[in-house]
Amino acid sequence: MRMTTSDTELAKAAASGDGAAFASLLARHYDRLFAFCFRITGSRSEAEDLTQDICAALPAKLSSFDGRAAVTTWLYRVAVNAAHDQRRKRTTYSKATAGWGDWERARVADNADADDQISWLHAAMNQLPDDLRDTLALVFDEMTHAQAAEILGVSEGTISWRISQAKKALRAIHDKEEQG
Amino acid sequence: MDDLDQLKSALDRATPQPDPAAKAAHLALAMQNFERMKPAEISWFERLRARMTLRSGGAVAGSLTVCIGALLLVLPQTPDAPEMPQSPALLQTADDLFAESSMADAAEITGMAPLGRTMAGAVPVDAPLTGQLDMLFNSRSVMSIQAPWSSDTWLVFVSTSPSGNTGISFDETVLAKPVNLGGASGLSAQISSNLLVFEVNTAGVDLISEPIGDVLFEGDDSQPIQLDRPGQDMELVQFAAAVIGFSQATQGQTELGDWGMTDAITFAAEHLGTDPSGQRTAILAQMRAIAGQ
Repeated sequence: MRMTTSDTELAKAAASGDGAAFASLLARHYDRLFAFCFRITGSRSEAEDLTQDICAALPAKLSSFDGRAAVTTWLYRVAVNAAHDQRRKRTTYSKATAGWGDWERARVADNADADDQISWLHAAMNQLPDDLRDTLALVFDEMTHAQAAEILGVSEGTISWRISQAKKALRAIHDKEEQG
Repeated sequence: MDDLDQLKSALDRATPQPDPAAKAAHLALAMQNFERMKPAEISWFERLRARMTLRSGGAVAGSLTVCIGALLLVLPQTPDAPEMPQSPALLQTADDLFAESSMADAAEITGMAPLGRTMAGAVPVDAPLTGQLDMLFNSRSVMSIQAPWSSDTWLVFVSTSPSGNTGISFDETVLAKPVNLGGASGLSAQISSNLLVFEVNTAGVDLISEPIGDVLFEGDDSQPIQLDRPGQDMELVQFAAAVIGFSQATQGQTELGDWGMTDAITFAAEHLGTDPSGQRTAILAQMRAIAGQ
């Protein structure tokens, strides 16, 4: 009995030169990739740039898909690596974090009553180190700790530790804002 | 709701939908690059090097040890000859490959030509298989030969060419069942959970150590084997057996007995066949270099 073509089958077909399979695979995951890129950049324009980089690089990356990991895991690993490359290209921290203003504007437009929350989130995401931000972006995208660990190339314990650190950082930022 | 939940909630609400125009442009760019990067246009050596960096020996070697008695390997060839490796670096690469050799690696070496989509799996057998076999594949090429290093070991080579874009996949419930190897032969074999599944495609030969996807076996409608090019295929299988044995010899596998690298090289040289692409000659040269000959 054959059911809907799986991601793995599509990826392997794509790796064997099947353009239709590649197109199907990418179309299936594009929106999710874009959303992930937005979460780790906080900027629509940067997310679009990053998604473009990923799309451009994926054909060459197909050879690295060996079927042992889930396609989504492999895709997110490509995305995280592309994000790291993008960050390296940036010259200043302010430029690296400027994108969160886009997020703030989007949130304001979406819900004018959430100004306080947005201010806190803006501050939080600006202050979180890249590794914590990447980890949160994955976990927020319904990745398990084990999957996030595989994508980021760290242990599951490290993921749990980072989540714990992120919580502490967010709590500290929250407390500081309340005191201010 | 804690801070983390609050952040996630805000992120979910703030995440925009992709711009349709940008999305279309990105997908078009990806397809453009895909056309440029089609595996058939990637050199033989580049594919070998790429897989070399990906291959991790541990898990693969464990499975192979269990299944050493029998394996399955598919090595079809296409009319378009691959690029011949010319770089001196290839010998070093091949040396590294054999240093961590496994049957999967042997399959890689032997099946380096651009290939059509083909699935192959290992079928452990405890009896010599002679004559024509039937297998539960859509279209297939099945051959068995006695391992050159042991009269007790038979190598079973199975190739299939599934139609469409999807490959054959296996399910554990099927793997646990005896598979009829053919009414004509009257033999059956238990395909164990240690089944080795190779997928051979234009990117090379990959070992899939875990069952994937859905079941494609349908009932017990075995069909006769069809060998499109029996002579050429048998040449290839014999040569592949030599490479497999050589790979095992580099690991000091006790199953090989006194049979060693020199025997493998001799066997390979005797079974070069027509060598339409020149690949086997190149592989034989690598084997000799590694053996210090």
